[in-house]
Amino acid sequence: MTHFLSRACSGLSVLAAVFYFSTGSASLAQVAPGTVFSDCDDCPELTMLDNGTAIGTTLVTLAQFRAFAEETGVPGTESCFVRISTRWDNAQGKGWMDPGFEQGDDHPAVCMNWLEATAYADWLSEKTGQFYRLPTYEESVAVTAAGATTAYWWGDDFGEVCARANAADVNFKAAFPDDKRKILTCDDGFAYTSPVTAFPPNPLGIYDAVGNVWQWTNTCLKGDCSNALFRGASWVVPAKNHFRNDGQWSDRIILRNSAVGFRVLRDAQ
Amino acid sequence: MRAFLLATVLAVLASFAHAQLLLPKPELRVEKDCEDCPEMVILPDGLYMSRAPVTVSEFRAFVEETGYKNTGWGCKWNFSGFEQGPRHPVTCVTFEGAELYARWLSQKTGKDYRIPTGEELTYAVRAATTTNYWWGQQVGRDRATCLGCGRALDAEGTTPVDTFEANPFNLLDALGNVWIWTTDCTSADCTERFLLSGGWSSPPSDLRMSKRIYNGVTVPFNTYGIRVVREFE
Repeated sequence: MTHFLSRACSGLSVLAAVFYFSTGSASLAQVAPGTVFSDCDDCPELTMLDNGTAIGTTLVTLAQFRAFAEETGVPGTESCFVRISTRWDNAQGKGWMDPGFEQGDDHPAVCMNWLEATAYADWLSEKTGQFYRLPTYEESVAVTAAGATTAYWWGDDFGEVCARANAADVNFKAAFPDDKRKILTCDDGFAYTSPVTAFPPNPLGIYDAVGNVWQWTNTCLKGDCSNALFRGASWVVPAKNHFRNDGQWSDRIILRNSAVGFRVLRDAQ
Repeated sequence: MRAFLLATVLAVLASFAHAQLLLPKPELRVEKDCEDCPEMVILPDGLYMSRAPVTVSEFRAFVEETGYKNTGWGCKWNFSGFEQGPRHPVTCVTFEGAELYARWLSQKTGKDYRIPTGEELTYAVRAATTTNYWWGQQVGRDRATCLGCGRALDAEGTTPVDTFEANPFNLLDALGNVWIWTTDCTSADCTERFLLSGGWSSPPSDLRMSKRIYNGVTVPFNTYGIRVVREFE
């Protein structure tokens, strides 16, 4: 009897080991904090955090969002707020397929409303068996700050912004010469969105923690869940307060904007 | 035998009384204290409350007489960002603006108008029901204006205040269409106040009276509106 049990046990442990190596360490609970992994071929890369949740290493890219949108029929040219000269215009015929400027597959997807961003997280959950959602505002701030107590994740000097993030810089000014706001005079290399790994990551290894596009969060505006917060500022934003770790803005959950995208969060198992 | 008959008759009478056959329903009375004043219903507890959210035309009378302007950030009472007729609820009025309107009504009529407390508004909207919405557990269709209330124009803007059936206390737009400012504060300094009852852009779950949102007293939104109350005199 003991002999049989020990054989069964060793058989199980062999099976477990085979399972462990064949699936990779990613899908198991004991992933070390800081590890970068993904749950499927088309899934966004995730960075494991200390508390067992995993945050999207990058913003959701156009290629990743396209895989979802084409499978589930998310309209790509219905309507989206695009920047025209000095103002925002809710333009018909614009959408994630055509936000009004050129985008590569590795650029962040834009022009999805909060409902569509949430649907993407639900779709990932169904696909992988893990629980994906948008991060809350507090989670997003914590991941951006990465433990720092400075105003921006890189320190207190906003002058470094063009080396750290995609903001409204001289390239933006060239594309929108009539914009009367005080546009930054440094050069970040991009007028519109940039590839999601174009700028250096923050100390947690998170790319575009601020800049490039605003990121939808799972948090309602003052309890009003017809408006959701987004944070992180974007390629249209020159004002430094929005690049702070706790900088935020909000909009109605049914509206789409060519400067708003998102990243996902995977809950602890 | 006679005692038994008497008992039977009494029992039958009692059952009639139980069925409230003897008491007529209270009359639904609506009063107006001046030409441009909002219609007031008399709630069972004796408080007068505006039958509907204050409309654009009612608010216009106030603006024309007082020269009221909401300056600064945000939308304006006559520029909400979507089409509004005279019977639509006025939006983009700050809490401070709402108090000015109530004060103006008081001066005009000699009655003591004010903004309702959360408790007063909840009492009036629930109308003695205990379900999620005054009409039942489910949001259903064609009961109110919200995002997901089953209308073609969902989340496009406000609708006239008399679009839907009134609640049992005769309140129009008791839920949905616009959030209603209350005097309830989020903190002791009262820089922010609660709003109740859900708006045209709200998901149905926000139309339950257990849901509260809040904002600064100087902030206008095109999903916020007002009701007024006054005491019985």
